[in-house]
Amino acid sequence: MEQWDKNGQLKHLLTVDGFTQSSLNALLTQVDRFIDEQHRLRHTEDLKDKTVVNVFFEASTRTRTTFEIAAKRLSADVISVNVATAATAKGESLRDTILNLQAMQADLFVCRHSDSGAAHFIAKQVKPGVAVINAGDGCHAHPTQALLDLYTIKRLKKTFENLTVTIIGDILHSRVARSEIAALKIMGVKQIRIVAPKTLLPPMIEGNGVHCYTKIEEGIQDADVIIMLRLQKERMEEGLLPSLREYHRSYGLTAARVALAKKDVIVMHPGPMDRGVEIDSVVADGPHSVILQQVHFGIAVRMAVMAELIARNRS
Amino acid sequence: MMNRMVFRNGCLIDPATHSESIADLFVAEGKIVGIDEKPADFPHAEEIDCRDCLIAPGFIDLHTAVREPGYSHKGSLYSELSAAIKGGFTQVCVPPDSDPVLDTPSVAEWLHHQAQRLAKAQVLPIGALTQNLAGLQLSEMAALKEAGCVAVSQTYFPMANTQLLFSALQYAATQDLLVIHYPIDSAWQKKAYVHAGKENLHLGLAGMPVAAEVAEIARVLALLPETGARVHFARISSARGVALIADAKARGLAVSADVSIHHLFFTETLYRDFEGYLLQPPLRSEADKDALRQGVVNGTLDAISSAHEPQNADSLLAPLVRTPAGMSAIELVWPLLVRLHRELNLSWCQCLNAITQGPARILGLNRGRLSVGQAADLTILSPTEKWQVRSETLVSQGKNTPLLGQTVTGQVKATYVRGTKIYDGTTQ
Repeated sequence: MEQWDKNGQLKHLLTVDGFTQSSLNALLTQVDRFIDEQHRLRHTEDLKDKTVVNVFFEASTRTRTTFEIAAKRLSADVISVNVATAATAKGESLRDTILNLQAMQADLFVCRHSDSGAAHFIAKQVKPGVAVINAGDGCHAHPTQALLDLYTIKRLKKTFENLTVTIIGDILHSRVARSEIAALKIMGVKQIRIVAPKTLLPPMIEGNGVHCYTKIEEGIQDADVIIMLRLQKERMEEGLLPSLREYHRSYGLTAARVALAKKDVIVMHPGPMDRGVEIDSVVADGPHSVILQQVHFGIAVRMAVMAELIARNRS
Repeated sequence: MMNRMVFRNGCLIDPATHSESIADLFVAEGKIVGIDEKPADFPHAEEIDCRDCLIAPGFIDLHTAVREPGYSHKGSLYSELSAAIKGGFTQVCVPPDSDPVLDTPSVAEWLHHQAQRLAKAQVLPIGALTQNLAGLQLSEMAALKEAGCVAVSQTYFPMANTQLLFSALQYAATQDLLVIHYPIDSAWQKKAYVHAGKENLHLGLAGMPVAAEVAEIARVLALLPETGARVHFARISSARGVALIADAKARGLAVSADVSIHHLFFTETLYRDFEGYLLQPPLRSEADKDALRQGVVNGTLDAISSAHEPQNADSLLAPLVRTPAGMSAIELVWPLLVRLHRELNLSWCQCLNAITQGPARILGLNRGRLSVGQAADLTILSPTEKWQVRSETLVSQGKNTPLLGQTVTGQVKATYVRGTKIYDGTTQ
């Protein structure tokens, strides 16, 4: 696989597939080096004299900003290229864009692209010693989101083994869901549930340690963790859903539905949220919500990933 | 001087009569004049030693994209017909999706003339079913037929409009033209890349379910009785697709079907790590692959097509979903059939039927057999010789095959059209 070298060392972070429980745990343990008990982020020199280039072919606020802050806290030089309005608009290919940025001595690329598989493609183009982090490719993967969610769960729930985790929303088109499911499986959570209408469930997903529900009440029953997914408006035009109103009626996370879960349930969301569609404000801002903590932990997790990749590529 | 030759010591494979035997084959003036027995009045002849080789009818392909006119950066008539004869093919069907589209006699005639001038494989043009393949207005099928088109097709420009498809089938039947139908639902075809199966759970690519194939087969089957059309279904990709064809045949409908050589060997697992080449229809599951193989063995699938679609290297330097579909395959059909022979324990007749007698029957060609009086379209095959698939060893302009770098078994030694050697593998 593209992201491991011959000795099984991580060269890039493209997907959580291929990790083991111990390698994921090792990475999560590393995160503590960048954040203290009081949740204060540290400042280190792990990426001193290194250049990090954020190449986002798709709009992003949160992910790009947290990667930028993370790189700066590691003392890297960071630039963010808004490719949507740059060279590709003039017809430059993805490959040429990357090769040109590499020629400017980039050491680490953080990439987001609307095509599933784009991160694998980019990793194939760069020279040895240059690392690639997948910050989301199409509907395929968003590994740092999965890692920060694992970290959040670990911090707040301590263990994974006894947990029932419910993921609700557009599983079919969600890179977050794919990475999340893979990561939770590796960590050995007791039960992974997914909740969606049949039009938003990937075919053949039932089985393999995943339980599918089309009724949100059944999926939420006694859950320890609820992960909400964003619903994109395109799904109406594609004929997969009738309306946002109907979606909210059937799948929106309301306070009454949260009450069906365990008393100490935590509610997560990768953002951006659509209040009143997939989640009600009383829940998003309520006592179970850990949504802003996720964002905060996300910086430390991304620091750990970048430090890890650069350390390995230095050696 | 009369053009006479005798092929000595080869194993003659005639799928039409299910015979495999070591015998001499006598050819004069482009025709087979004797098998095993030397005909009277056959004095001097060139002797060709075919020891350890098979002698089969020249292969016939149902889909060879030569990329001309219009796409010479992907392939040319010269490069792709050279690749065809290197692959043992003496006749290749050329699909209409060129630029300009093959919807007028002039394009068909141009292809014929160019191919004749090149003196390689014979070109059998497939005309467009509708003008410019746009699915709006019927093509001039009478004129296309007169210009030598052996069938009409929309290829991968499916028609959503059932009423027009019904008329097109009726009109093709009026002109007594075979319709080659690529069963894929038009809406799914525009946006899906890979099989909506287990492998894609990880990849997150837009998936095409088997429903996109079987719904389209069922739609066309439903139109057949009232139109009287003869339909050949190209590139069946699923077990359920095979079952529908078997059922239609059992009901006595005038249908035939083929499978691409790719679908007999590759599955959805090809795309792990986003490697490989996309295909239409998508590569499906292991169970589908097995059903397709069974379909070839039991005759539900009448032919194997090379589905040869060369692509230029530049177009492939992009994330998988941005790359054009297709594989370069025509030079690899024989080695893959050798593999099928070994993996399924088939006779050579069973293997070769699907690229000789099978397609000849579908197209109504008097070819694909070894019998006295037949045109001497022959291919001399080594079933044991190995070679490495490399960019340099492929004659096709397209190097887009997952077999690149592999060593394969099975070599075409020579190809003859009407008794004239058009490819000599021994001098390469």
